[in-house]
Amino acid sequence: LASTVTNQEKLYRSVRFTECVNVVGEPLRVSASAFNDAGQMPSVDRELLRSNPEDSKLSVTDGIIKLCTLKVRNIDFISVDATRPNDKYAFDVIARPLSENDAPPSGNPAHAQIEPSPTYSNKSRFKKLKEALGQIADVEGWVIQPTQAANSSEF
Amino acid sequence: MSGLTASCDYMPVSAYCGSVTNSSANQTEPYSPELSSTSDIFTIPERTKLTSLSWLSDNWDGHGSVKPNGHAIQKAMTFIKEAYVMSAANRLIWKPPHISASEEGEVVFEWWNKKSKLTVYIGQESSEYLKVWGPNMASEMIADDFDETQFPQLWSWLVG
Repeated sequence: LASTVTNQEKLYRSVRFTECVNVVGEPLRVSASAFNDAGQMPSVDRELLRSNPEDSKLSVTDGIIKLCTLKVRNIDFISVDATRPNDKYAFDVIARPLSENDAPPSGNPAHAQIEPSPTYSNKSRFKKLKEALGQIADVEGWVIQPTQAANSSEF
Repeated sequence: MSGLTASCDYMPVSAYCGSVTNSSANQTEPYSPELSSTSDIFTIPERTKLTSLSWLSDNWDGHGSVKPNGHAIQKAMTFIKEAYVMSAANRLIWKPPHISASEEGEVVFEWWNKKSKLTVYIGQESSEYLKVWGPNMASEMIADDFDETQFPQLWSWLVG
């Protein structure tokens, strides 16, 4: 399995119905809250290792959005120069495959995370990341649109 | 609410709030106490949604988010009514927000207008706003501490 996520790779993120906004006459938009993450490193799945995007859903009614790795890496521009191997993206997509022994959701070789470098210096930075991911998702569009659960326990 | 959870129609205040306007859109009356009670009526969907946030438990989104903070929800209830009144008092259109919560239990309000977006986080201790007009966080976003008195200026930026 490819251990490095290339710029060309597409990424899947499971999004709940309640994390979407329907603006009349416009495509379904994604809320910044769709990228909530307690560890401030949102999880994604690599399309390359997910033959069926349905497998990336956290629940059956979730939708799937697509993100372009290069666009994620360009959210906050830091020049990455091949002659300076210590240079890093401000936000990078790092392959973090989950084994069967990991905590749920386990057994996911496609799992990757959007991680900051260095770590967050203030709360605003993660909020900005979520906004940026929402902006990218709105452009890249939906792979699968979410549906409202019939007996939804979602707020 | 039918359809998707947050249907953000554009709607002038005059259409939302008949008691503060005359028949002509150009003859909107200045702010009056009536507006305050009108805001109670016209923010019912938002306040209902805020109430529903209090029903959530830890890890409500499957991403480890904590339960929305009760004090933040109460602050958000007050804020949304004030926001409505301020937009009307400034004769600006009103758009219902998308309401959700952050991983840290803050209440999140989001409004879109074409490429522009305003997000307000209401927390127990502090609040924050973000103005967004593109994905680059260095050149297309501004974030700062938020208090309610800033709302007219932010709202004007979004819909003005």
